[in-house]
Amino acid sequence: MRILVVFTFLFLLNVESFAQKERDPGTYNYEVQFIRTGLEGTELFKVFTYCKKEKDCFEYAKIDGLKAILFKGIPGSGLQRPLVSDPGGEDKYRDYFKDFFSEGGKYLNFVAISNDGSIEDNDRLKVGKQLKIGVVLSVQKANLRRELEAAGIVKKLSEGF
Amino acid sequence: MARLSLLLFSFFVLFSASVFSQAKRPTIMIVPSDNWCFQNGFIDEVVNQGIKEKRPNYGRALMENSDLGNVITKINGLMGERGFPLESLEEALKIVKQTSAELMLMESKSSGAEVSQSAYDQLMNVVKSDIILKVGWTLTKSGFNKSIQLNLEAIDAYTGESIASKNPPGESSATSDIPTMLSASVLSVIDNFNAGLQQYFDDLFQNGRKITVRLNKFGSWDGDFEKEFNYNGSTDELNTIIDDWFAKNTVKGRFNNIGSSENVMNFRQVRIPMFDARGKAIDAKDFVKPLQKMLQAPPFGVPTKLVPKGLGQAWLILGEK
Repeated sequence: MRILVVFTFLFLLNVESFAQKERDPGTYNYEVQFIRTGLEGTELFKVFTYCKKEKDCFEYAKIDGLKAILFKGIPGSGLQRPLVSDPGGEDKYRDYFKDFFSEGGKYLNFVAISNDGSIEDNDRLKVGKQLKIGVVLSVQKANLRRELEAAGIVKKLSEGF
Repeated sequence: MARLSLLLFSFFVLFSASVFSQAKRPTIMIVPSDNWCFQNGFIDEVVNQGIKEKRPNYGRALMENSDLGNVITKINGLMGERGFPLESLEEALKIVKQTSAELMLMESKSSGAEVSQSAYDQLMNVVKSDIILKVGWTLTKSGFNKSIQLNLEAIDAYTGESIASKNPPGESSATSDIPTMLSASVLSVIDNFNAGLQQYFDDLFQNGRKITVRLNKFGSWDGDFEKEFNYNGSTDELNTIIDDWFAKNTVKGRFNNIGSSENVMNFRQVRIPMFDARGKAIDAKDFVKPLQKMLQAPPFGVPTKLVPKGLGQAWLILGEK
């Protein structure tokens, strides 16, 4: 009986450690500002995200920035139209994007924190009980597009010809 | 033996399917915009039917402006990465020089009669691409700062329609050199520009390829487009019969007859299917061929000359071969 309790405890601990950390619903707001086109195939953005702990904001920013590029497009940038041009793309490819954005998922290959993660004073705000932090990201847009083309989510320009 | 034959037959079928399932890829060429050529002095003055005209001199622009070469190379690399390598303007100009810019006027094989209406468009004689990318930029200086505004526009060479364009304001810099700024400008516009191009291609696959068809008559032919024929049980002028043919054979009956007279019929925005009934990709020439056959057969019996011009334009000249 004691062995069973220990086993169950270990099993639950294991499940917990692999599960994606639950995000507070209040942190789903974000704002994205285009900074400039960087080296070939990259684009720099500043993403303001909401979080309770500062380190969470960095992770949320990566996901939010990529989601903005994929499903919304960013005015003034080189990606004004969303990469996933199909309006229902997020739902249509739900399984793919669930894996893509999972903890340690593929999304990490296409985004990096810029400026060593340093935050300007003006970009660190206290909003109610939450922090609002502006994180500068470098996004590998060309590689991201290639990944989506390979997955059949985004059409190649030469498709059909 | 039978198994081998079956294997060969299957291979042939698969090979044919793969060949025919692809639409013909439009060719793209990049040229400096007229405005850029004018601003930078790469313009020739020519006299056309007594009227002085200014025309861009691409050859001199390529030879004398290294920034232009760099911009073209950069765009070519980025487009190639997207599966659309550009036709080389420099090579095209060399070929034109060698072959004396093809024939300036169309002539009949049998009598040497000239085309009744017009000669080839001068520009299209030099650059025969389906899509023309026009590139140009403006350098603005303000104190130590300078900025570059890059203009990139894609034009369907045969319909003359603007397909996609981008000219965002460039970032100003006091330290960057012009080639670096131009390179950055190209990188900042290319994705949005390609998104516009993608939209155009999507429209092609959904609503058909847009082509232009021009029907002329040789001066030696005694008939014209107002001549009446009894066809399919009713008597109509030839231009009405041809109009009906277009209505029947275009995608969703979409075409625009922009002007008909006794000597000429001009059709623009003619939406043709990307593939024929056998699944083979078709272009303007393939689309017009059945019309040519119809006109050559009774009750018309008119010999015709079909002149394809790229993928998107065809001329059908009535009266001689």
